[in-house]
Amino acid sequence: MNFETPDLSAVFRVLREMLEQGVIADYAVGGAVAAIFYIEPRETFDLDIFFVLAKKPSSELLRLEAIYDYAARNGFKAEAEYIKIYGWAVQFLESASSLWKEAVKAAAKLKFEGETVRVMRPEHLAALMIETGRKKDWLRLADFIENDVLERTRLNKILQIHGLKEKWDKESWRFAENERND
Amino acid sequence: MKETIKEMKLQFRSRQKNLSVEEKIRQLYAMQKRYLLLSEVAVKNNLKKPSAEYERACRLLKK
Repeated sequence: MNFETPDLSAVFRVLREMLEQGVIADYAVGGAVAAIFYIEPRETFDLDIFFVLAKKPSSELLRLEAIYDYAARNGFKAEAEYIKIYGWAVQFLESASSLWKEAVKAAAKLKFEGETVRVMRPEHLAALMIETGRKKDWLRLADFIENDVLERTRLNKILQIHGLKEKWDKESWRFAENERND
Repeated sequence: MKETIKEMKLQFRSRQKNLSVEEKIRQLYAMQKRYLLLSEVAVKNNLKKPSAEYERACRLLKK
């Protein structure tokens, strides 16, 4: 089996360089890897990076141009929707909705092997899970609730601002058994 | 010592809470490797057909 040993801190160093070189204006780690900063790890094969572009792209179809150019200059291979960086399949997702943009802006600056990395806060991750609402989002949200990592006032405020309160009220019955009662 | 599932879950959770994120990422690498190895053996021995998830893992994790 040809399994490359991944190096996450090297990936975070690349993201810092992309910021310093103005390739992107801002970014935050999202998805399953961001969740690992707050709860126990669950299987995932990729790394989701939500970003805000530094410069307006030359056309709407070339929104990822600056990122792919940077990757090519630095010898990182692009494969379909991923860029392989130090053993990680990294997917760059432009922050499209107001919730995504706010999640990137409010990201926590955390340390990983000495490297500073911007990671979405648990309440924003939870709001994105509620917005997306796939089966795996509900399961991950159950982990967040069981591990008591959500600040409820902050989460409710985010849900209110982004019009997700009603959806959460409808779906929250799913989590009755996950509430900590120990 | 007899333990209920709830007690075991609580103990596991409290052990995990004390882990650093670096240790949790190492756990993730081990999970990924285990998934690939077990799936590869199962597929090679015709115990299961390669699933879309397995194909995706190969594409994303292998060199």
